[in-house]
Amino acid sequence: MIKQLSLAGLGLVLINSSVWAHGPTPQRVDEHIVIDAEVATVWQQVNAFDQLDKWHPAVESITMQDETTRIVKLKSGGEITESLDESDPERHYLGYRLLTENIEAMPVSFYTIGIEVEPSDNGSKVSWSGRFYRADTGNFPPENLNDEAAVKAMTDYAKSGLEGLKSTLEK
Amino acid sequence: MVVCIGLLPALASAENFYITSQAGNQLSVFDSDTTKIKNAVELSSGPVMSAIDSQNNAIYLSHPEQGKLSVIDMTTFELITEIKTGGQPFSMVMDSQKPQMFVTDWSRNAVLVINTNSRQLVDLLAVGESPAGIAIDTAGRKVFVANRESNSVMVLSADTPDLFATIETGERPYAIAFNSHNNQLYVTCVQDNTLTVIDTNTYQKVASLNPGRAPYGVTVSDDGKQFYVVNQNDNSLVEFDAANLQLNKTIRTDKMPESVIISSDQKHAYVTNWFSNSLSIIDLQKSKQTDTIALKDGPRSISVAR
Repeated sequence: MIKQLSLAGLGLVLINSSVWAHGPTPQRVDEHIVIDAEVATVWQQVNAFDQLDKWHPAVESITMQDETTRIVKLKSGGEITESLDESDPERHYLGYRLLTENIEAMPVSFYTIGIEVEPSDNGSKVSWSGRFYRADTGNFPPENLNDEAAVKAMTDYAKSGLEGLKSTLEK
Repeated sequence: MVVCIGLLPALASAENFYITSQAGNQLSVFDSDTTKIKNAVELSSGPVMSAIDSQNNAIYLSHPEQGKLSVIDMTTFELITEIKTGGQPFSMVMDSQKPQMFVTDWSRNAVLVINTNSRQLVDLLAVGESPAGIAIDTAGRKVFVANRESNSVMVLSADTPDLFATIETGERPYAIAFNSHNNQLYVTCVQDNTLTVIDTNTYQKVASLNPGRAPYGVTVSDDGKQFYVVNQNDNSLVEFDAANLQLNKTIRTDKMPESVIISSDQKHAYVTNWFSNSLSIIDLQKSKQTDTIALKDGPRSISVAR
């Protein structure tokens, strides 16, 4: 039985946005690839937040909602909205987060992703890492919305993105 | 205990810190004197937060995905009991004045009250949406809850089922720390990268600070003169002056820091790094990370008995 407290004067601001969940175990993605190209060249491509469709094979098109918000239309159908957090040209680091989820397009409820470009013996090493939660944050998620489904989707998306970046830049 | 008294002065700075690894299902006991993990305790699946019941020599762990708490003996590290709460129990805070503990329940929008003698769920109080962090003012008898999806902090009575106030915060308030020296509350707001400072006498928001990107854990030094925040997306620890609310220093951590705690002598900060699976040992005088200790997968919380 839940006791109702007095809720008078409750000045709630309701924001239509994804429910970030911390109850479920956060999951991780941690992929990298070596590209035979200069760091500056790779960084230029990665840092173009509005041009993901030029190199990510799973992305159909990008529409910029404002300077730091992109709507990513996926080839598999559906759209997700991502927001740029940080672009650090010194570290060659790009950070962004999921702003509006679409669990049918991508079975996750929230993520933050960082893409970093570092020099390596054979050119540049690009890492794609992040933290996310499964689509159904309740304690009894169906198979298509559980941790495994989220990890698979996020890992596949990172891998194909890195491979797409490599093949675009090594052409 | 009596035989230890002679040794106490020499070991004054030695403390045990309790760290949960959510994906690794482990409780790690970090000894600040040897800077080693001295006990690694296998736990039931998915432990997130911890709270120490010094009077009963027990540590409580929350397992949100299992809808339960586990209670572990702090000497033998054996399971004393499990408390099936239902919902998704998350953050916990012990009341040092009464045998009770308050627990946020993420999915039921409630605060659970647990009797720490009988180890039973005795009450369920309605709060805002997705309550995350919780703190207590034991002298003032107030409990503070960060309602993550409501962008607010609620102040509840620690003794009766009354709501004293609801205060608007920044976006997505997560962790919360109470400074008993100046009656201020620090609330990290993950979405808009702010820290809301609240006066707990007037229930007014007195400042909105900018600690960094995705501020997570927050803690106050024992003397109340500084407070500390880790920024998950900046891989940093920042120190604020509690008197003038100015940022004193920024210190690099490992990747995706989650929680922070300060040693009782205030010389060190210990930070759990979720992505790196590590504990940062930070020298606050040198303002840098001096060592890093490997932890089991997915370290979340760190706590100490004081």
